[in-house]
Amino acid sequence: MTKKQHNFSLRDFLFTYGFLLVLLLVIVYFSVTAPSFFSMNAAMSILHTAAPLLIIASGLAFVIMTKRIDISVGSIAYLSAAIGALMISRMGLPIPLAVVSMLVLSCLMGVLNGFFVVILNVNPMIATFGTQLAFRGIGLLLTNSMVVSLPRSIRFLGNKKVGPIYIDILFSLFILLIMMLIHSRTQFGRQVVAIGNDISIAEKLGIKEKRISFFAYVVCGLMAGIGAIIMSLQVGSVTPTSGTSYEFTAIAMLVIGGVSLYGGEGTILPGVLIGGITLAVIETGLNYIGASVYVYSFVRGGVIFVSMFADSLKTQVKPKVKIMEDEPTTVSNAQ
Amino acid sequence: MKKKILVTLLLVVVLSMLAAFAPAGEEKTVKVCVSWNEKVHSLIQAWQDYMEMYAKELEPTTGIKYEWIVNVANGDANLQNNNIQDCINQKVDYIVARAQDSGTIGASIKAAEEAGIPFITFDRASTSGDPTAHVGEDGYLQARSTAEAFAKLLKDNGIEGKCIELQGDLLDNTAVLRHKAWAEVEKELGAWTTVAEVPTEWKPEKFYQGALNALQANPDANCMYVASDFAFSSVENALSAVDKDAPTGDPKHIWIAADDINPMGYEAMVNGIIDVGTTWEAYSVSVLLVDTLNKMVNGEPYEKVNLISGRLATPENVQTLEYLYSTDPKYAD
Repeated sequence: MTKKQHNFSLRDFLFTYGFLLVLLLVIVYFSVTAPSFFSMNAAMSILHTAAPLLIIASGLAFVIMTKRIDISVGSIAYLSAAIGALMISRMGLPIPLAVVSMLVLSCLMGVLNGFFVVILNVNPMIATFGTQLAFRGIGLLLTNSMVVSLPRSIRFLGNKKVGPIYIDILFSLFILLIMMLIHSRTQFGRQVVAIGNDISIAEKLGIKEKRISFFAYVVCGLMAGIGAIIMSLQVGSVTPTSGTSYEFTAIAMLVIGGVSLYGGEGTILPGVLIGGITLAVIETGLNYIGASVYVYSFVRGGVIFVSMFADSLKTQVKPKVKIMEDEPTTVSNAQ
Repeated sequence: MKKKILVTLLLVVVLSMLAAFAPAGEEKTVKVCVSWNEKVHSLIQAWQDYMEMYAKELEPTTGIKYEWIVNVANGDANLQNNNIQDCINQKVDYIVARAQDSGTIGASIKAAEEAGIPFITFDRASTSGDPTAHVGEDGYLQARSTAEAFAKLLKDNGIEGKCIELQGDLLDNTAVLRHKAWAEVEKELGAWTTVAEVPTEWKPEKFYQGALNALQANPDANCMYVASDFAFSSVENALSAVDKDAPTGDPKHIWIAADDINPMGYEAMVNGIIDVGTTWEAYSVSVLLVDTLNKMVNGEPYEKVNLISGRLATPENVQTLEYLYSTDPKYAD
């Protein structure tokens, strides 16, 4: 057990709760500058537009917690969405069959990433950069680089609401809840954290590092596939640019939400959710205040840089900082 | 004597036949590298198909056989420069490129010039180098044609416009020109006020999110300018989310001007969702490119800038426009 610290430290407080403070500050700023921003409509819109990436980021979190990375999630989302759309629109196959195929295919892409990174020991950045290009290439080949529209009969699902709440918000929160339970309440989740904390200690404790890390990639692929379904329904089509740069947005969400790129730290709830909402709030807020189109990239880049810098600083003072956790996770809980 | 006349006549007939059936000149094979920045929608495939088809049609009369070397940069300006360098290394005769970034294509133009290869910018003009020629449509005139017709439409219907502008990727010169034309007509004719400018980077997700946010932030908005309708399903979904996906005549209708008349835009215009737009021509521009290439190959004088104007489309005339690639089932989304 970690001994609790009773002396208040501003530095520790900022590192632990800093991302919540950032979110609050951003909300306050846009609420003051854009009169209609602080409203139920805007809140729903923020969660709605963040929904696909929240799911994708929750899968990616497992890989990053093992101190690895997967920069192919955007391409996994694109390829599975493209195949699903082709099956429905061009081949006229039943929607459930297309959905199942998308999910199976995205798992297989995760298997492939796991094989390259964990079994063949290829550097995760290089391996998933390769698969990022390859998966997108296959998608472009299959679609002939064209837009594939979804039938009008199912497009409405992307906007379907229960009361004032979009269905995809409820769905993404449900997925996050499941992912949180997997992360904090299952052996697999605890082992992922243990591997990220210290791989050699994890192995000494008997954790099958390769197997767990491999499955982290499969989970990541599956989540990219689920995110792809929501993404396609929202826009009503799949284009060759669908999912482009999702990997970096998802990584930014994770870092803002306190998932360390150095592995072993972070939470799905509230971490990933808060990270995702923070980015979506910024994007939506800029829309609301009618910001110059040139401001968007600058703000996005600035937020990502500050988050990465904070993550780096946090790692340097790690022993003193308690990360907000779903449940306390220690190496001793790993088995 | 009779025999001589007969032989002479026979000779004349044979020579005439040879003259009639012989090719105009010796057949030339010309290698053209076509560098697409990306293939985000079917218009690009249509351009490619039409230029190959038209060149093939002309082959018997011109004696010019084109060999097309096509590459796609998937939206990456650096990759496009590399692709073009590959073409230079292969010693192609001409390079045709649709720039990903008008501001960086100049490096490729310079490299081609140094290798003695004529360079034609296609569709998107360069802002960073001087190509041998440019072929395309005038993005400024296109957007201006749409904006002027839209202003008239709003005035005719007594609408004081409060518009949302969904802009393209501002690295793309065409997107910049469309924004410029929209802003100028707004200032000149005063038919609307732009209440929100939304950047989309030509990404469907951003069309959707941006349109949805702008519609919610500006509930009194009654009109919209969509810089390109290639991913119009995103805009329709956003309209649907705020219960404003309604055709002309319906009280919920948002007046929409959208350029290009791509397949999704065509469908939306036929359904009365889009009120006015100007075509981004596939066939005419491809024809213009091949004609320009032919002139270059034959050493004939050619125009340095070759631009055509799009045609104004409305729900009333869109189904009657000829050579509209959106109506070709081959390019249906």
